[in-house]
Amino acid sequence: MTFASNQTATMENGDRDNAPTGTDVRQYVTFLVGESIYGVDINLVREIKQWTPTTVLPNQPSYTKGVLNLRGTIVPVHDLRARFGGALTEPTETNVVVIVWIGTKTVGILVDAVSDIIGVPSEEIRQVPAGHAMGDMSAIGGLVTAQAGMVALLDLNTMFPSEEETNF
Amino acid sequence: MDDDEDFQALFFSETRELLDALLEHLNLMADEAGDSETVHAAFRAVHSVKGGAAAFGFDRLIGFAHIFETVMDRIREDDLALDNQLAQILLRSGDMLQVLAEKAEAGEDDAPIEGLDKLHQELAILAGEEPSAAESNSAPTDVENTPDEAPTDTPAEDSASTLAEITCRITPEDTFFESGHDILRLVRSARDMGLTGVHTEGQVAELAKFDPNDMGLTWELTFQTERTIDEVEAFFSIYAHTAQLEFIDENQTDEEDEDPEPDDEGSQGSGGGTDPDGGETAPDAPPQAAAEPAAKAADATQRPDQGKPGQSRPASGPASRGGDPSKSLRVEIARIDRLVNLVGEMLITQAALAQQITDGDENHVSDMAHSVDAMSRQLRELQESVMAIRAQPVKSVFRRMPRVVRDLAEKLGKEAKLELEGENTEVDATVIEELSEPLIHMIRNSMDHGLEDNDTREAEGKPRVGTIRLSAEHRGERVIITIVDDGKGVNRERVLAKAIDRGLVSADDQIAPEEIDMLIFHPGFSTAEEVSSVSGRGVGMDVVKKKIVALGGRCTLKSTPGKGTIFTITLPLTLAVMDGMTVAIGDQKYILPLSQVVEALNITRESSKQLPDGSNLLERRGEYLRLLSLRSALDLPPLDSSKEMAIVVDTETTGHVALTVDELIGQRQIVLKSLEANFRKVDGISGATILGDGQVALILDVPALVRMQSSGFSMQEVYH
Amino acid sequence: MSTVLAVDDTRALRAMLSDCLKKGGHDVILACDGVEALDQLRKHKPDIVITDLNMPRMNGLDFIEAARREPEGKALPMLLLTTETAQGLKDRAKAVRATGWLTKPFDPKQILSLIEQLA
Repeated sequence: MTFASNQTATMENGDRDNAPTGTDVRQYVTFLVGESIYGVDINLVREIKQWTPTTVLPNQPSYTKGVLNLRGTIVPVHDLRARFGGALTEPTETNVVVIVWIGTKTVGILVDAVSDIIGVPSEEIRQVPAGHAMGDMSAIGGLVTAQAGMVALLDLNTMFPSEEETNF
Repeated sequence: MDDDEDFQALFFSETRELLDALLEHLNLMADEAGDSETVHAAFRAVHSVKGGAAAFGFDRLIGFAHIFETVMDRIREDDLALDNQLAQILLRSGDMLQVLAEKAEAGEDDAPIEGLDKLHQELAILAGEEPSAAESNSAPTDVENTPDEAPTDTPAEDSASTLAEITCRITPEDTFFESGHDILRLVRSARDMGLTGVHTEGQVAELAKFDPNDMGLTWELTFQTERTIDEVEAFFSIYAHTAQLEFIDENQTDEEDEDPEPDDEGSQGSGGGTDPDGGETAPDAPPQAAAEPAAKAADATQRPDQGKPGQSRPASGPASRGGDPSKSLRVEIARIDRLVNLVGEMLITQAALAQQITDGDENHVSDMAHSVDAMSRQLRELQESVMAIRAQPVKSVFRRMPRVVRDLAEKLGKEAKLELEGENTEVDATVIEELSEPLIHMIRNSMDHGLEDNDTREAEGKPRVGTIRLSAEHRGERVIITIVDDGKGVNRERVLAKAIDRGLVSADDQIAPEEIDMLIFHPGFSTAEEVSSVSGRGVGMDVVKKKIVALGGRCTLKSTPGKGTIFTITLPLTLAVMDGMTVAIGDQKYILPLSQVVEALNITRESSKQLPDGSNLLERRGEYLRLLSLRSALDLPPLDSSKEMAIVVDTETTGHVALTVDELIGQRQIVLKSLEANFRKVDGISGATILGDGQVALILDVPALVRMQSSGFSMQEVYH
Repeated sequence: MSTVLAVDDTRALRAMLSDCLKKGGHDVILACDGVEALDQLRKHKPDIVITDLNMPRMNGLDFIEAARREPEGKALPMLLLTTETAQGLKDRAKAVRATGWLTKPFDPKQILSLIEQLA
């Protein structure tokens, strides 16, 4: 997928020096789910894949779409929209799976599209206001304002804790 | 040394292999099937164990191995005739050696062992040693020597007061140089010992014309050294093998002189190996003591004898490790080479592919297709090769069985013969490790319940000695292991009575004879009541079955009254690869382990029934099986499918159950993948595999699925 | 530092010898019987050989005898290291031009100093 590979190139060239100096700037991959923009630390992104149908697992939370074959390893895929209380995504070929590292495990996150790579100085990250009503906000590690709008930075470890708990 | 433990572990794991091989050879000898090479190999095995034991100071092991070795040597030299009685003693000695090694490994080198002394005595007699004389025999080398007389013109290069002045006269024999010695190197090394002077006697050849064979020189090396004469002698001891040595310690009393060889002796060398002075070469002592022969002068100062096993090394403590320390695998080098080559090939292909991608023009598409093809082939081969690495012959397990049979024969007072077949059949290493226990169990069962005692057999016109045949063979992608005995077969009356007693079946049931036989695998069948000291260790054949099933195998039994019993174990070649049956439910595909699939049936309106509680039954040849919808078990949306099929599976714990699927796609071999690596354990799913089209298919854990569905459904699975 | 060819059919002893020699700073080549040892001898041209006596395929004596016929083995120090003590064997060792006879168990110090001395 050209999109993904372009992004990869950008990621590699992703240049911290462009950001204001003297602060800790981290790169985030941002992606779209409906109107929302989410970001994941670029170091945790393994690759970006076009959606392909998954194999359904029995007796799982509805946001778990099943598993896919990532070059011979079995990787679970979670629907980010459903994870945050939204409707189940009916994925098509335009949807994208962001493959991320969570601890030692590899997990896929189903999103609508990958949007950008942004450098975020740590002091620009804002806390999620308390008392927010929608969905499970503990999985949002912080908010940041980018050109395209507000980006919710995902805290993957709290987002899919079950992946971390087992096997340790 | 820190590594002592490691070396010990290595020694013990090697000893296990050696002893396995030893017993194999001894068995051949006992069956009169061995030849001189067999005897030789057995001898060597004992010898190697002794050598290793000596390195670690396991005295009891050394002692027993030594006397055993002596007996083996006498057999090898035809000093002892190998008869049945001797063969039995050898077998027992082989077993004893195993016990000794096990004790040593467990750090119980001193723990009493029943029968050890008696067996040792028997061996000692066979070895031709008086038991008492054996001890004096432990110092086989003598230091006695013919004191020759010779002039010593001890040249006393003026002694510095505190330093000892020691002189060594060394007279190389004619083989000295041919034996890899070099007098210049000797002199150079001797400098470090405090060499102060070198004199030669006899004809001195010019260095340029020096001929190694031109002997006849005696070298006199004088030391002024802080070292003792012992140390100087130790330095020279290595030359004693091919040279005459004489030491004179100037600080000691003057000794008589000697000159072992006339100066002109062998001056022409005459090359050949013949000892010009065979008589005088004198009995060689171990090297440390070997300096003595010609060294009358030094007799007074005896070096500590390092020749005794275990003395010179710091006695290494008992190996205090439990269990099998080695999770290692011995692999033929050829197999590793093949892997290395394949990886090399793949790297080349990968480089080519990368190049073609960089070039990026369309003409390269066919090249790329080519490379991809090549890579696919290489990958397939790589996979096979990796699998092959894990494959090991069943020999290592099979070889433990003769001892089991011998032990049992003794305990039960039944003579029995064990025949082994197909020992080189290869199975996945993990399987091999796990195979030992079930096999021992089944052999016990055959010995205890299968074979009649010898008199009964004779009375029934059977060969007096019963036979158990253990064999292994490949059949397709599976390994078949059979244990056949020619005993009396399963006592069906007793089994049935017991099964009824235990409530496993009802007295009214009509049960086919074969089904009665299979009852012995039922978990409820053999319980603690089975207290024959042999089979009854609180575990029954159900444990065997469980173990085999856990390995992805199957376990069946066929018995003919009066003729014997055949146990058959069917195992997958590797654990990572299994045979599966692919089925479809909706658009999802699933794999059922083929080992659990009994048959596939069409479901007809007539054959499917419903119980009042809504659960479904399937009629099969007059009996009813539970009919489970995989669709609902797997949490899939319900769908009216008219073309459902039933797959009858063996759940191991609850018997046969029929599962409905939409479609039966076929059998294939699959590579097991873990779900847990990136996700977690999913109930009812034992893993996943990747199908030819790249899709993931789940492997169903049938017993778990059935269990999950049957909460509240606790009746027996088969309705008659 | 020397290159030492250590020959023994017992894995544990090979490992111990090798360990001892390496700790002494030597390069170690291993072989598990005489046949392999001959091969290693030709390939690696060691400075000294330490060999077991009883081994499958080719024993230590036969190996030394064969090695002496090789250019690499002509003047090579070759020590036997064995549990054997029989005089007959020692005589044979001499006849095949073994450099010396050591008895097991070996003393690492002794082995190392012998290598210094002979190689």
